[in-house]
Amino acid sequence: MSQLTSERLMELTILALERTAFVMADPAESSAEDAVAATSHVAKINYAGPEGGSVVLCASDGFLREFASSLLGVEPEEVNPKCEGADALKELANIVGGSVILELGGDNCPYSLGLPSLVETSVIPPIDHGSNQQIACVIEAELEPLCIIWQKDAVAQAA
Amino acid sequence: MNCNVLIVDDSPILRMAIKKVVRLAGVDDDRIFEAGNGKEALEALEANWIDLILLDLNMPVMNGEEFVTELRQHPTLSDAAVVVVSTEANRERLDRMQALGVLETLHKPFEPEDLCRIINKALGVKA
Repeated sequence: MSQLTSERLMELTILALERTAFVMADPAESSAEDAVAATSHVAKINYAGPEGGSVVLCASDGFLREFASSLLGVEPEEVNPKCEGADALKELANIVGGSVILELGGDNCPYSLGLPSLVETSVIPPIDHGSNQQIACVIEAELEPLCIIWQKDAVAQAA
Repeated sequence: MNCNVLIVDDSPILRMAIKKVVRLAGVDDDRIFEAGNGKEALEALEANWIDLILLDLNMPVMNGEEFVTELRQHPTLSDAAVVVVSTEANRERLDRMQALGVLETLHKPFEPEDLCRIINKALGVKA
């Protein structure tokens, strides 16, 4: 089993954005707390296996529009955040979740993904920089932030 | 290209993205069909001749594994060509899909060129 790092989590998400929608993103300088504060849409996907866990994506409205519009080939203002935007964020959670379990489990991956879902912003777990059970990082595309939170189940249950 | 392709994925926006690549592979728009889960895919197969199925695995209602299992027992559709396009990474499940006769598995996120190559290879095998 491999250990996930903040840098690797960012790389996996940036790769997912680039390959899926040709969206170019970079690590952000803003903190996870600031990105969470700017969040308007949240998607979550759980996984099960030797150690269960989840991946939570916290997107600003601007990020959501940027990503969905690139997928659809339309202008960001044409995106309906509650329809195409929500679908796009769930799919991104699905793809990042799949990349995370592959990273954790390798070629003989024993983990299984659940289905992605949209959740309320109140469900976003508290950021805990000192925890070895959680990684939170921020990337941005067109200056719009996306916070990615990976955590093991013990933290998810406690939150 | 005179081939019919069925895209099975519960995400409408991902189906749209995959559809773009299928078009790039040379399949005409009116030959591309869509389904949101395995049950809808079986209905689409009953109504249309399909040369290649691009299949997600993690879907509500009927998932990809349940769909292929049912497909392989179908009296007339059992030899349909299936390529898995999914985030699925579980080794045991992927091995079961291979045992069910899927041609290839492409892990999301994929390079469009890779999907294009797999589509062309699969349709070439069928032809």
